[in-house]
This record gives sequence, structure tokens and C-alpha cells, in this order.
Amino acid sequence: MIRHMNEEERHRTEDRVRVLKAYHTRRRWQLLWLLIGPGILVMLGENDAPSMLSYAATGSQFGIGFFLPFVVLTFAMAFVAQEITVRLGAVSKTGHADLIYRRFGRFWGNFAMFDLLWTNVMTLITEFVGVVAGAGFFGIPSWLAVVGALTLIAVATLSRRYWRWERMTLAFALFNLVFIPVALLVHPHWAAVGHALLTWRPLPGGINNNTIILLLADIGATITPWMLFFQQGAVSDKGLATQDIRHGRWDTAIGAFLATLAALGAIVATAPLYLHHMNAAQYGAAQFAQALVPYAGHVGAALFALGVLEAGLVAAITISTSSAYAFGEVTRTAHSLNRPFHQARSFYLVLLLVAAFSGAVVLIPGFPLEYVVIIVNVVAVLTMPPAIGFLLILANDREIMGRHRNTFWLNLIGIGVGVFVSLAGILYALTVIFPHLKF
Amino acid sequence: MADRRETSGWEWSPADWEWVQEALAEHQASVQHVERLGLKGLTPGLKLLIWGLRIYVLFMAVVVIVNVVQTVH
Repeated sequence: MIRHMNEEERHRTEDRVRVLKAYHTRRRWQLLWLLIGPGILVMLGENDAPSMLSYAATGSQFGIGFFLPFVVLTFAMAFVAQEITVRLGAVSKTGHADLIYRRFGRFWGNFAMFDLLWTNVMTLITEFVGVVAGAGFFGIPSWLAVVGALTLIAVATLSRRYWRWERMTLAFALFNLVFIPVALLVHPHWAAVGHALLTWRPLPGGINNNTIILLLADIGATITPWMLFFQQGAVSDKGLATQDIRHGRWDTAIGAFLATLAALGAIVATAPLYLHHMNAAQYGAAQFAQALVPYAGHVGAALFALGVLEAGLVAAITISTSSAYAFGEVTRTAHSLNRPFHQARSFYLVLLLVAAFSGAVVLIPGFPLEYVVIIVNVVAVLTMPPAIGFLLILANDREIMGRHRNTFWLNLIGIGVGVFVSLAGILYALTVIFPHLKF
Repeated sequence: MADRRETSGWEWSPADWEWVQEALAEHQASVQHVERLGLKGLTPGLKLLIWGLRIYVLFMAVVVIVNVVQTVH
């Protein structure tokens, strides 16, 4: 059975041996430590710059109310979708794009790739907007912020080892939690937070066009196509086996929990801007941080800016990695972070060039960055229904999944998520086509 | 090389050798299984679903363009 083993297989095997030993010695915490990663990364990665700005816009326009439980609901839906990618990756040991091409053919595969590519490029641009805006708060020039971010991405991805890349990116990703101390620094009215979480109220102004755009932006802040491609790719690159699915679920659940806390933190932190009747609708990252100074102090404002910078940076790493995984799977070329550069040139070049292109766009004078930030999450939601469709069909594919295929209840919940996302898109379309429509 | 096994230049201790084989066996079985997969037979219902979802995205792309134009003007 043992044949020539390349560096990718050797590194993955080394990681697997550590996992198997932990199973054998029943070291539960060590096992969890070894197996967590893709789930936390995908969830905290999705708390990216446009997402945190969407939450901040939500807090500043609606205060503490309807959107707090709504964000909890969207992360619960994200967990449903991402759990399926854990099973798909652990069972098939291959990425999402590869499975779509194998089972649905090139025609449908190309459509899925097109959706992924244009949403990834748009989203990556907004990540660099976040990096530049967050760095701007500290007086760092835009070009330096972009070059610094690209250097960090290169250092993390060229570490020649999935494990090293994963742990480095996890360490960055945990900075996403800085939105929690910012929320504490504004001294929120905890009874109002509890009331909102239990009653979904208040929703000032009711449902109108602006509410629907923010609803969509907040859904797009938690459920997007790149997450499916990234987590399945990372699960297979990490080498998770079917016996690890339970830990993969925990990994995803912990990630969803931490990301929910950070998202709620951003809404609660910016709620004083609504309470004090400030018009923060068009605020960018740096302006949000500046506006928070009277309520959260300079430390809170600096943490907010740092959080947006970090959110952009981590998502730039994960999203460019998801593009590179998909490219490698479609072109059937080497695509693993366990390989050195010379063994997977196209994989690393796609990863770094996509990031460099997005960083360069942000530096173009006069580019409508603010508008791209607002629209990117909306576009992500609108491309999600076919992605969920393929996901559910694959999850029910007996030939791939065997005994790990979706159960009746998982299908029901999955279909519910798909219908919910589709209806949100239709609601958005109605407000665009009939701008004077009242709900 | 009495107490170590080699795999194309990578050495493993005898204690690890069993784990290495177990890890490789599971991975290789899955990879071989996926390699054998062909195109999935799509029922008319599934075809209708994925065409419907594709048309949904194309329609929404037009809506986004309309929204952008409306906002710019």
C-alpha cells in the first residue's frame, strides 16, 4: 500500500498520526485542539470587514432590537450549511468544486465557479477597504497597509505546512473578538439587550427598503458561497476522516458561537450612535471608530478600528485561499498548503495574485469603495441559493456520502435555509423594481 | 535500517508505522472511491431545480445592476 509519498501526503500523514494517537490514548482535549481549525476559521473569517461594517451600520441605524436575534438566527443557518461541508470533506477527501465538476459536469461546474469568482473578487476588494480604513485610524498610509497585508498573507500561506498556516490564521482570527470589549466599554443597557434577544423588538421604522438592504447585508455577512468552498477544501487539506466528523461539528459550532458574539458586540458597540441620533448611515470603518470616541473612549475606538483591520486581513487570507483551492480542484493541479511553492506554483500564484489584484484596486484614486462595501454582501446572498442547492444534492448523494448522507430532518432544515435566503433575495428584488412598495 | 521504516525518503519510527498505515489506508480508500465517481444522473425534478436556481441568480444580477444605476442617478 505504501508508495511514493510526496510532501503534501507526508505532512498530512504526520498530522493524522498525531490525531490517531490522541484517539488511542483518549486525550479528548488534545484531540479537539488537533481537529479544530476549518470551522472556527470559516466563521471568524466570514466576520470580515464588510460584515463588521454591516453590523456597525445596523447598530447605528436601528440600535439594540430586532437585529440582535436576527444575527443569531443567521449564524444558526450558517452552521447548518457549513456542517454539511465538514461531512462532504471528511468523506470524499476532496474539495467542493471538484465534487460539483465530477457529479454535475463542466456546464454546471462553470456556473458555480463563475458565481464564486466574482463574489470572491468583490469581497476581497472590500477586505482591503477594511484593512486600509482600519489602518487609516492609526495614521498608517493606504499603500503601506496594503503592502503589509499582502506580506502577511504571503508569510502565512508560504509556510509550507497546512498546520502552521491554520494556527497562524487562527491566532489572527481571534482578534475578531475585540468587538466584545468595545461593546462593554459603551456600557450597554443589558435589560434592553435581553429584551431584544427574547422579543425581536424594537424595529424602529418597521420594514422598509433600507431595512431590507440591511437584512440582506446581515444575511450575506454570515452565509456566502466562498465559505462552502473554503471549509470543504480546508477539511480535506487537513485530512479529517469520517471518525472526526463529530469534532468537525464542534469546531464549526465553536466558530459560529465566537463569530455571533463578535457580531453582536459590533451591533451593541455602535448602538449609542442610534440612541444619540447620529446619522451614521454612510460611515466607513475609520469614521465609525472616530464616532465611537465619546461613547467608548479612545481605547474602544482604537479597538474597533483594529477589529475592522483584522477582519479584513483574516478574510483576505481565507477568501484568497478558497479561490486557490477551487482553481486547483477545477484544473486538477496540486492545491495544498502542505506543498512547497515549487510543487504547487499555480495554487500559490492564484492565491497571491488574486489578493494582490484586490489590494491594488483599493489604491485606485476615485474607486467607489463605499458602494462596493454596501453591495458586496447583497450580491453574496443572491448567489447563495444555487450554492445551497448543489450542497444539498451532494449531501444526499448516496454514492459519495454513504451512511453520512443527510437525514430527513437535516434536509428539512437545509431546505428551510435555502428558502429563507431565496425569499430574502426576492424581497430585495421587489423593493428595487417597485421602490414605492409598502410592507 | 532495522528499527525504522522508510517511505521514499521519509522515515517513520516502528511505533508510528501502524498509525501511518492506518492513516494512509483511510485516505487512499476515499480518494480511490471519488476517482471512480462519474456524472450524477439528474432526474427531471433536479434539472428543473438547478435551472430554476440559475435563472434566479441571472435575474438577481439584473436587479443588482438596476439598483446600482438607480443609486448612481
